[in-house]
Amino acid sequence: MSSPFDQVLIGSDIELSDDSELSLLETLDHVLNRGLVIAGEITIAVADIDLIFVGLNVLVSSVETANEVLRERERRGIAAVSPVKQPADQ
Amino acid sequence: MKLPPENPFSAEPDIETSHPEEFVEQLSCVTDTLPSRINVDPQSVEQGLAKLVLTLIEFIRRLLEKQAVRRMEGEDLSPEQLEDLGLALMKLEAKLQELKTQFGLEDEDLNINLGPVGRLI
Amino acid sequence: MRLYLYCLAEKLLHLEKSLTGIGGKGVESFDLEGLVVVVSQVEEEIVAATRENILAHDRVVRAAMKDSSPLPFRFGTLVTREGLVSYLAARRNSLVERLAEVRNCVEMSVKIIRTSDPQMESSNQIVPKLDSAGPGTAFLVAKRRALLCEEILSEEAGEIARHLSARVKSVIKREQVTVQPLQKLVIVAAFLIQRDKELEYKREMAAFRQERPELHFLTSGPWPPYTFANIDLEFESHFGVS
Repeated sequence: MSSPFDQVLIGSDIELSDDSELSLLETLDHVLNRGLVIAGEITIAVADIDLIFVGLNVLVSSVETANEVLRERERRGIAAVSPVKQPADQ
Repeated sequence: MKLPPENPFSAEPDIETSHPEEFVEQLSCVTDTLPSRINVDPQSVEQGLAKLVLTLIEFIRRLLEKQAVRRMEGEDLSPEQLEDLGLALMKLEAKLQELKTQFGLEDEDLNINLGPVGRLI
Repeated sequence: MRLYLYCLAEKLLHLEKSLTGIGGKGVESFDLEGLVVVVSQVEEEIVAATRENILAHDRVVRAAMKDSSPLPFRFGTLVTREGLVSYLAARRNSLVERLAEVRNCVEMSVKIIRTSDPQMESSNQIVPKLDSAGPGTAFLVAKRRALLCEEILSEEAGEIARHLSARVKSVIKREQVTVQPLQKLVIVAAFLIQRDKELEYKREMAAFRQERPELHFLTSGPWPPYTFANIDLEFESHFGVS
């Protein structure tokens, strides 16, 4: 099942400057960690922690986004930070 | 200096730092502890639950360690009691490490963001 | 068919026709339960956190900031119309309060990295055994040392946070300062300020940076009030704190 919404990789020909990485990460920190949450249908939350996702309405593939940033930095020969772990196999 | 009325709020965030590399590294870590792709297969749910349970145990374990250290400083335990206490806590730490390994979890996985309360570690 | 939610506003907005959101979709705003919602209609059931979508989400909320002060939704909030109606009906009073709180305000962000690297013993290392002490006691002695280091780090981090808060107190409306004493990224702060205080705030921040040359700063903003959309609502409802 593929759709534009499943596309997680940007083209490898796009240069990721430090500035644009930082901008993305800073934006990510704001839109992903904060903001109004419609709780009850997607998460079991305690004190605003999202602990278990039980619905399919919200997909957070931030693991892939972060990994893509790290891969690009490695490609450009910058020392890699520890890679983001993949979830234990599907 | 007033902001220009025709564009009072810019379309992109204004970001300023003298150390972009460092912050990229730190902010990438932030995304590490976010939930990964939603998966309702039994294994992922199990791991999610394990993470919850182990975080709680880890929290309590740390509290117990702090308590023990306070007691040691308070000098109201005999050397034997102290030794027993220390050994028990050592075993608890080792056991928890074992459980983490069993579920494929690292220390960082349990360092969840408790919102207003902060992080575990 | 679902609605992807960007933000809530007090009054109807004039959004450019050319504004695109998630997946390149069009954006609309309409009245619902006495509040205004800004949405895209989507067929899909999930929203991937791609670079484009993340930037699109923020872009749409920013567009709404032009003539209002909206409450942003968290990225990835997809609901049915019914779900949204029931959420708004249930939360209406809190949301109206929150909208009033952030009216004419923006959010400014500060992140601070501490550079001095104190030698901290890993709690897993066990100190070489003391002559007369057994392994259990040695374990506790090592833990004590680690805890003392942690306490020092906590104090230092707390001091930075207090200094920061004190500096900007006169120009901010609200703050959310998270202290992570044992992390390199020691402070993550968000400040809600009146729009017309932006310059003053920046002056105070610049002064603070000068006063703390040993710290590394990342400042960003203005942002829509992401951090202040939710905090009281959820915290109160989960802990029953009034």
